[in-house]
Amino acid sequence: KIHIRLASHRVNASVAVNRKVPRIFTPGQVITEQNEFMSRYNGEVGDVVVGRITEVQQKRWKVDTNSRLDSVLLLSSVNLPGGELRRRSAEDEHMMRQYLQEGDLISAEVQSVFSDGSLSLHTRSLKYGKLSQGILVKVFPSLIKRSKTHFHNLYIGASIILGNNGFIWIYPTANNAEDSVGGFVQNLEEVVSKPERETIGRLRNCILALTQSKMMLYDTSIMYAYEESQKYSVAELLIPEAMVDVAILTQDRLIRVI
Amino acid sequence: MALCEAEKTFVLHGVEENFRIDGREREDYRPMELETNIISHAFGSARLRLANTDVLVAVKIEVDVPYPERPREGKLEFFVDCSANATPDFEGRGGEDLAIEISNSLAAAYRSPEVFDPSKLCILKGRKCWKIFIDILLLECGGNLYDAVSIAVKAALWDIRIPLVKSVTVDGNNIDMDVSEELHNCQKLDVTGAPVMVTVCKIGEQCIVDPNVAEELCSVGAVVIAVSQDKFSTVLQKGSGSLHPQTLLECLQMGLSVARRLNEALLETLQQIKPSMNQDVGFLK
Repeated sequence: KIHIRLASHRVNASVAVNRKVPRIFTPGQVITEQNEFMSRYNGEVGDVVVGRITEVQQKRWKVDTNSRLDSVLLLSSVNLPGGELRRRSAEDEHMMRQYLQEGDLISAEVQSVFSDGSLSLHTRSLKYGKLSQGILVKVFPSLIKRSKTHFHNLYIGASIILGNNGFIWIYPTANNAEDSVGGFVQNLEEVVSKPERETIGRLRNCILALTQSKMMLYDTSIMYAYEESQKYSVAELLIPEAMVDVAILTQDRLIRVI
Repeated sequence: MALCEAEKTFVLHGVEENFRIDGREREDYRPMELETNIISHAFGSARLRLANTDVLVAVKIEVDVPYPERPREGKLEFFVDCSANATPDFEGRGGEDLAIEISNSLAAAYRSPEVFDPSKLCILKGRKCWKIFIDILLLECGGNLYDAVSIAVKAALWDIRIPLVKSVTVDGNNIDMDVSEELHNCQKLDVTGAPVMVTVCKIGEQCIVDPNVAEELCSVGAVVIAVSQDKFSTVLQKGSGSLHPQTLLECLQMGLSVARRLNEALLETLQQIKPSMNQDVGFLK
């Protein structure tokens, strides 16, 4: 079925709740966190980001993280495959392209911020590294709620990485605990099964539904949205009415929990 | 924007299983939004939003002299402007190649008199005719440009209001045209034959319609098919890949059936537009 609607029939995506009861704030509690909503990502030390390699330079990679300037991933900030700890040699510089090429996606942590605002990333932990099969969803950075962990293994068989820069990576949960190779191995022969694909597609559409209604994204809100969206098929979640419906139902559940 | 091999593999396997990354099947379109009469100083206009793709079409009319070898026919001219708003690649002269390609394909699609009857634009045989300028502005590129442009052009031509010529007097070499002053005394065009373009992308062994940006980057080749009332108006090939003749036939058949559905949906939506009701939304909301 092909849907062409008129602009006058556009759906209002706002799910703002009309609060009659005043909320009580304690001293020190921030009421509004950010003034700009659709701005680029401003990184802070310790943030988890998902980025795409744009250039391979002398001893570093340039990474696109949806900020004003490309972020930098130094060769000394990555784990070498095999987990070795050694000084980087000239050979390593030539092999850089074998580790990460243009277009590859990585998950990394912000190590420091340069004076011009660009970020220096590192993947010196086993949970960071090159990302394998999955889907990238781009949302506004201000919609990602800061929490203790940004790597979530959801019980439905998919996992998500909520990058602080607004890039969300959805991928099928790895069944076996991958032994520590520093996350540089990609399995391209493995075919993701149809049920897993449905889960991942549904998560993607739910995230976009929450984004359209400007709701904060964190594991609980995404899981509630996923559960509330079960009455629609995955393709039906692209229709604006369905997206607003899922957002409103998720909002209801979140309010009831509080 | 580039994609890594793993992402391409994921998209490829999805297309083979008939379950794309957003849950659509191979022949499904993303929801679209259409608005006509959006530019008040143009004779006709339309805006189409297809997920991330945004196309604005404005139609202007001038009085012109017809070609000497075709004295009873009016003229139709297309101009595409890829604004730098759409993607950073269009900055400066980056979008010119794409713009020329799209306008040439539209001109080819509208060339046949069965598709669009230019004799309706004649005012005085051999001396005066209407010339329609169709200006297309690409506001945002989210994949599947040709489809969006062709649908918006068809909607704008449906919306066009050509001033009604009440009489034409010839006095030696002077020609006086008496054009009606009333706004609603206008001539509408018959757009049931206007072509609708469908982009059929080949990914792996299967073909899909309405690719988004990621799927376009995964495809080796694509075929754009312009269909008008179950007949092919023009077919062009995009991309650097080559197509097996059997695959080309499958693409053409798929494009034909999808174009039929798309045309029906578009005409149904256009019927819902009532000129009396104040339904303007525009760009502010």
